Amino acid sequence: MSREAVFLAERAISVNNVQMAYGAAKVLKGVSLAIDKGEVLAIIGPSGSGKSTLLRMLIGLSKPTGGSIFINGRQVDSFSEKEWNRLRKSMGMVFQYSALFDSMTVGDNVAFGLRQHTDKTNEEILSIVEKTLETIGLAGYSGYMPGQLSGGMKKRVSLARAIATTPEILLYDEPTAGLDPVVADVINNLMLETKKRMKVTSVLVTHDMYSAFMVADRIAMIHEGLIIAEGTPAEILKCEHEIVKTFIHKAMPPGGIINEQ
Amino acid sequence: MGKIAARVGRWVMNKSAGTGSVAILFWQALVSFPDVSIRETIKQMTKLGVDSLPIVVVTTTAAGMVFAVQTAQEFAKLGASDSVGAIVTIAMGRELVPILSGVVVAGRVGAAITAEIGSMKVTEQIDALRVMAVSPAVYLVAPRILACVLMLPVLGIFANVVGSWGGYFVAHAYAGVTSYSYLNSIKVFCVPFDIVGGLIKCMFFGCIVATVGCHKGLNAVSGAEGVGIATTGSVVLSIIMIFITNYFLSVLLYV
Ligand SMILES: Nc1ncnc2c1ncn2[C@@H]1O[C@H](COP(=O)(O)OP(=O)(O)OP(=O)(O)O)[C@@H](O)[C@H]1O
Ligand SMILES: [Mg+2]
Repeated sequence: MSREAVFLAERAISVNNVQMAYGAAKVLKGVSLAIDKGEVLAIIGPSGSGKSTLLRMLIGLSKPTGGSIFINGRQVDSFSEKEWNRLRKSMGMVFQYSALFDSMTVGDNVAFGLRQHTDKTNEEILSIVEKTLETIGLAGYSGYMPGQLSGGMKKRVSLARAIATTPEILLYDEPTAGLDPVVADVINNLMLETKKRMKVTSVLVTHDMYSAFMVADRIAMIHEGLIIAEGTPAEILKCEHEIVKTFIHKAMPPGGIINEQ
Repeated sequence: MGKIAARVGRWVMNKSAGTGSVAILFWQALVSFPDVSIRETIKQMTKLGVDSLPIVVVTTTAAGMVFAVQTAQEFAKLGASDSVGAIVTIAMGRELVPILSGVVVAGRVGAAITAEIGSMKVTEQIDALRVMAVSPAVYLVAPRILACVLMLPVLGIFANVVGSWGGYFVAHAYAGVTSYSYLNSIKVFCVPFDIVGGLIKCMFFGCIVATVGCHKGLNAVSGAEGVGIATTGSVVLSIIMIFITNYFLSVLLYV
């Protein structure tokens, strides 16, 4: 193995010069990132910059038009759906718009992965479901249909569904968007706890700077299809790049958010 | 004339574009039949039966009646009112029942399948399935195909019975055909294959409706509008494919 390949194999996820184009529109123009096992990487960036697109590639929902992606040392961008399915059993994803199965109850949504891929008894599954719903503050909701929940509640069920199978890699697409500050904090703490307890490797796409700075070990900022800054939260705060500065200071103005005039 | 033909040709080609990917989807579902969930299949069969039995019964009864209206009087004039029963039964069994059931199921069940799967597609539920390592072909497509293939012949049996009854009532009312002569002509002139062949056609049509329905749903483009377009597209393509397939099946089974 070449030195570079050894390097890649040690990373949980590595993304090398990945490009994505929809027709003539280049959404990603060469993105490179590496994430260690057990690390949380936050990807921030303006709307439409390609964050969801990048996340979808990491779990095989779309194929990059250029570059390569390695997960646990294996090149996955040329995987067949069958190979992906083997890998996906150890992965989880929280969708930006929840994507709950709306013909199933909340409980069945959360139980879905366990029922499909484990031979746990129904009692074991139900107790896992109940416990998971409790951690996201929705104990007692397992009989509800997704249509009966608010947007924020759906988001949390989506999170419960993703963590119920205790995956090794978790992809979060704006898990705190649309949540009130208290519940957002519950989710942030849950992500921190998940990382500590289960050594989960996580990629967190978010607009919520508070969440990014609280949960992430490293932050990368994507802008017009390129990574323009990457580093620990402290490094990102000190970053001199104009776009990064503006983006972060708009979200967290140094003088506070009260407009005194 | 040539221009119109070219236009029609292009329209048919456009409507049936994607037949290749329909075939691929069918193949994916076919190889996954060993893993198909029996529970899900039975659920789909129940839904399909309940949804379409009333419409199939109404349309095929009416078809049997109207067929008898057109034949009974003419045959009576020719002194052949003794063969009306057989004529109605053969026409129903071989052609009208499978075609009408197929079309009705395409409109009722095929549209519902596309709308359901299409809305799952545009709300990323299909992606959620894939992310959870569940193949939509196994989980969604295979049970629906199996349910339609098994259930359409069952509907066909009902349709044959009510269609034949409808024909009898009309033949009796307009041409004084007795129940004895109606049944007797069926006994003398019909063979079981007049019905069985039609039921075999039903299985093919069920397969077409489910596969096309799923395919159009899985390829719906985002937005509520996309689901609407996919749904109409599904019904149109199913009906076209049913009629074309019917011609070849008729030649294969009855010539
Ligand atoms: N299926 C698609 N076909 C064509 N263009 C697409 C498709 N999906 C995404 N795009 C385009 O790719 C770009 C990036 O989209 P993406 O959803 O990745 O943005 P994002 O960074 O997640 O934005 P947001 O923060 O609003 O969720 C957008 O300009 C979008 O129009
Ligand atoms: Mg997004």
